[in-house]
Amino acid sequence: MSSMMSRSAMAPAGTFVPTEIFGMLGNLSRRDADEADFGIIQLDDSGNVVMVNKYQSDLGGVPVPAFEGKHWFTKVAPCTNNNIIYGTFKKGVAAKSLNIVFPYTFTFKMKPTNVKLHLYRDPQTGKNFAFCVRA
Amino acid sequence: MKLQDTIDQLKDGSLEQVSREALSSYQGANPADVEKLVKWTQSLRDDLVTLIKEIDDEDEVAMTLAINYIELKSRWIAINTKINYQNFRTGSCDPVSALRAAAISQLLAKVESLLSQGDIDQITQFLAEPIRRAA
Repeated sequence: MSSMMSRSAMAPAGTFVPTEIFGMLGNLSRRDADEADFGIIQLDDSGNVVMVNKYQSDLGGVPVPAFEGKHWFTKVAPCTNNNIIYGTFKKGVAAKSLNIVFPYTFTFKMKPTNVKLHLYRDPQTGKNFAFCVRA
Repeated sequence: MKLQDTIDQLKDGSLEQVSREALSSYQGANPADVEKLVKWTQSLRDDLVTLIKEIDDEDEVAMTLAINYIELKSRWIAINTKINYQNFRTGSCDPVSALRAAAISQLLAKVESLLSQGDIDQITQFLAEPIRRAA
């Protein structure tokens, strides 16, 4: 695993995502994403999944093809369909600014799992991401 | 699907096994709570089986399963909302509620396996946005 894709690399305060990742988001390949030891979900402005990495697929027990192209908040992870997560995402997209970390618990058709969820919009490219790691 | 096949699938024993395994994996899960919730899920399932046994009409059974799915998913949505607002406000959630959400989602998965994809999509769409909100 590339050291910059690991959480052991330096992460800014409040998040678990290593600093270096933020500079790679414009060109993040599937291979890079799959090397990460945390979940990476790229979302379009409507909330449809553009790309999901292996960590996230394994965490939810949902194969990658069942994620991609689907609406994350309502179809893939309905536990995020509330004002805390989806509402914050929509406001962030509208404001073109999104950078917030939440403690969260996933329970939908999976082992109950406490996570940290980081919603982020890359200011350089306007790409949206949800990063996720077991708490 | 034949009535007896539906009942056999609901009572095939996998619900108890999968629920027990999923709930026991939760950090800090109390074994007594896990057993109580597995039994609670069983009783919800048994209520559904009792109801289905009263109906001698396959179309009516299909409708009953769909209504039960809506009921279970609505319950799950309510508990999921509760635990994640707790997470948001305090940084953690009531573990028994998290276990209850996970338990009900296992039964939800069981009932879902008896519905058509078209019915699941329609219900999912409706429950994702049951009220009109201001833009």
